[in-house]
Amino acid sequence: MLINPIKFYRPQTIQEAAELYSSLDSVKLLAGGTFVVNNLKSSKKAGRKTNDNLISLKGINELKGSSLSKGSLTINSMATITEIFEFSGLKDNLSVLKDACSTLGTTQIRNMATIGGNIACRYTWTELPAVLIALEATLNFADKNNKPKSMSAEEFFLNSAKTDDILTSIVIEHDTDSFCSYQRFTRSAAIDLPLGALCIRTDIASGCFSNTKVVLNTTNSFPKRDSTLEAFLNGKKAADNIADSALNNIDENILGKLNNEYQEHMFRISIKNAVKNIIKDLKTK
Amino acid sequence: MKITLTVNGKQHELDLNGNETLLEVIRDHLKLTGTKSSCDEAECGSCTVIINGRSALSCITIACDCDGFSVETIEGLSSGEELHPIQQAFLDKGAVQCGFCTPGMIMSSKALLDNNPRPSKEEIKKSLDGNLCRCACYQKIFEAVYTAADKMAK
Repeated sequence: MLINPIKFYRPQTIQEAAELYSSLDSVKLLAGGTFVVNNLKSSKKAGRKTNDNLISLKGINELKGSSLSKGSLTINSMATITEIFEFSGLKDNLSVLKDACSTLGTTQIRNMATIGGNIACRYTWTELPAVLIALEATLNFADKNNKPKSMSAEEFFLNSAKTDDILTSIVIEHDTDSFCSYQRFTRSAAIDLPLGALCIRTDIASGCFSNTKVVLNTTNSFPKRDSTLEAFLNGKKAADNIADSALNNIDENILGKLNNEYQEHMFRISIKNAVKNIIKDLKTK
Repeated sequence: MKITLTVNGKQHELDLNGNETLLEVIRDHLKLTGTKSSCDEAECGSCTVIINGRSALSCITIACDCDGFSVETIEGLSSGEELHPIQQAFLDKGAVQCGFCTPGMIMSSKALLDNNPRPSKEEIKKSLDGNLCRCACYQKIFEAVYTAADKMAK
């Protein structure tokens, strides 16, 4: 076997999963499996000890599906990446979620991986954290006693808030007035893992940027908001020349987190393209 | 742990330990060795099967997590001596060199055509983005899928 002996559980309800999760020691939750199963295999290969118990969330119907109602999108945590980008309601500010999901991993990975697993694994090299922070997503959890808890995506990722709870859903307000752009860059078109992912979300008030969020995540750090660039953009006229000026107002600390000149260059291009796209969308709206 | 798995339309009752991957069960328990084991870390797509209508990597799927699911493997495509149109197109277009990636390529192609019978060339490329061919036969493979789609639509 390629995985160490493990006791496998497949609860049918969140309540059942929460009870199991609280009663077992050395336990791991399993969502789509694209991170966890690979990790179990590589750990065995490396001679490392792995968890004794595995709780799959795949049998829990309450954790499946997405819905758009009363101005907000609710994505249950076991919705796969493919199911999300095929969801017809991803318009306006939600279209960046579609963009990010459609480029994440490969076809098979998108069919298997879930949004909940992607968030809960907290890998730095996935695309979704930047988008979820920019869209001000709320993450809902069930604690070990199945009591609901909520946390903003920003708090979860930026402050590296620790939680041992079960992620149940992600809620994002559907905002028809804001403008968003998502960019990612990889070493080559054939490589699926991004070196960086960037999401900008802004309101346009009287032709000017306002309430702007610029979020970047790279392979080597948790997502960061670029408050220098946000401050520069807010109050500026949304005109073509702003994309070039934006490049002189990037937080140098964020650039310092990037690995090399190539990544820094690609990050600058991504910012320029994101700002340009927002201005283009504004003109066509 | 006892599970029920339907593979290529045939129902199997299996008693598993819990740590078997679907690839191990398909190859070692059911002796369906058409599905290939290669990188074993979700990179190459050789182990691709169709689970409940979607292409998936059997090397990172826990078999017990597929209880009640329907799985299609390369062995389920042909009907006796008659090849599936995608298999035939791979032969006709010379899309097979060493052949090791072929079962995975064909299963990804089948999942695509089942859901989208007339894909564009870009859609074909995108849907095969998780399947690597070390012989770099990509152009012929894309042509084969396009041809198969055309034939199947007629």
